[in-house]
Amino acid sequence: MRKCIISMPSYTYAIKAQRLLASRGIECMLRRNEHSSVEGCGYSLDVNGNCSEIKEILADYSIPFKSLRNEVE
Amino acid sequence: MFINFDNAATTYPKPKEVRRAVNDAVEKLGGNAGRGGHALAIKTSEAVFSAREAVAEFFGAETENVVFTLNCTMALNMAIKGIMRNGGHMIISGMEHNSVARPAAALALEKKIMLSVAEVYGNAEKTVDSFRRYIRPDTKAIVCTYASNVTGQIMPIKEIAALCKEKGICFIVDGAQVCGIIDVKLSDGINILCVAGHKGLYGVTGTGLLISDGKFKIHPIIEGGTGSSSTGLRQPVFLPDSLESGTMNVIGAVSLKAGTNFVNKIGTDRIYRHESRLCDIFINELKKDKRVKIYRRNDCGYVPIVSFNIGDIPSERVAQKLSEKGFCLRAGFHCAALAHSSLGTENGTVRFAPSVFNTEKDVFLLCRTIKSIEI
Repeated sequence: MRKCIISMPSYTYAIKAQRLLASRGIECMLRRNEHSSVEGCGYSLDVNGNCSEIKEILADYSIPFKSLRNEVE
Repeated sequence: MFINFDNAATTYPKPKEVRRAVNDAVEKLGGNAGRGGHALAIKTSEAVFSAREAVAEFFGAETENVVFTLNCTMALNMAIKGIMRNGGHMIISGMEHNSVARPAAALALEKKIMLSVAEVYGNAEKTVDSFRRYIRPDTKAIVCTYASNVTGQIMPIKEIAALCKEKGICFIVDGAQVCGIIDVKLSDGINILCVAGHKGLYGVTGTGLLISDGKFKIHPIIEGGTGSSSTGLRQPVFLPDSLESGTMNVIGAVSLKAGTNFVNKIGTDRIYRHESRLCDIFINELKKDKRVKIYRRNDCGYVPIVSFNIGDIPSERVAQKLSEKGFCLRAGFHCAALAHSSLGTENGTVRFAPSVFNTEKDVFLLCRTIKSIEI
């Protein structure tokens, strides 16, 4: 299963993105990052799916993110 | 038993919706918002985000551009010092509260900025011209109260905003006396709106807002933990985190959501009409007492605040006598030295400031008591 991990700059942007994606039918889990993770300290959204669609949606609504990466579970 | 007519200082009573929201928040929101990933922290963070969203919608702002502060004074200090960090020239009006005048004066006395004070007239055009005359090539910001906390006079905000836009100047507005009473939106041309959460928005004390349109960078004056990028020593550069260091007032934020919902439920039109009617009754009754001087002009609009004096009786003595009879009004200089200097009220004034909860009967009773005060 392909998962997209989106690292967000802050909790505020994380939840804003989560709500936006949910309104598009894309459910995601908001979680606190492990500080040693690639994403570093902060919050991430885990989404089932490909990052390119997510990136486009966030860009359309000018929601900044720190990084996006695909992970295969 | 007392009747509060000092709502320009802080509104009391608070609506039951706000009291209930505060109670629920104390009981259930025990996490530190934006810190940690456990259920309690997330639940608290969501409540704060929801409050931020409600406020953003109320003022026509982006959610992330809403910053929770301790009060309007803190918001104004952050805005003024954040915008003027690299120096330059700033203009304020002659009716400013000390929350604008003092940080501005401090920066000027420290020679960090040059400061001008624009005269305020009843005529809007004359007031705008006054600001225009002081603009110079290095003018970076204009700070103006939306309405005076002493007289209630509404300033020509949209016209000053247009002037600022024309000149590329940051427009910072002190919305303490208007938010929740008249319709205020960032689209009025305001770049940074500073709000008292505990007045017309009926939140608890210890709440304020700085709302930015994102066009001007606001350098932080406080750095600290933000729950983001914690491994770095640099303060985040994005809102709201850059201006929200430390544990925030979660209960306060929740109270603001409940307060704005309350205001939305009634509507600012109805609130303004009700409170203005109380002011009209107050003025009409006091005009019958020849000793009373009311500080209002005929050529401008007002939010529901009336300043007055009874002959030469010290304003504080009048307020004391009223307090003994169960009426709460503030007297003196209202933390607005500039405003009283502009008005020429060397002995201060007594200020009448109703809220949505005051009634006509309250006002008639107050007026009867005022008329009975002897020299």
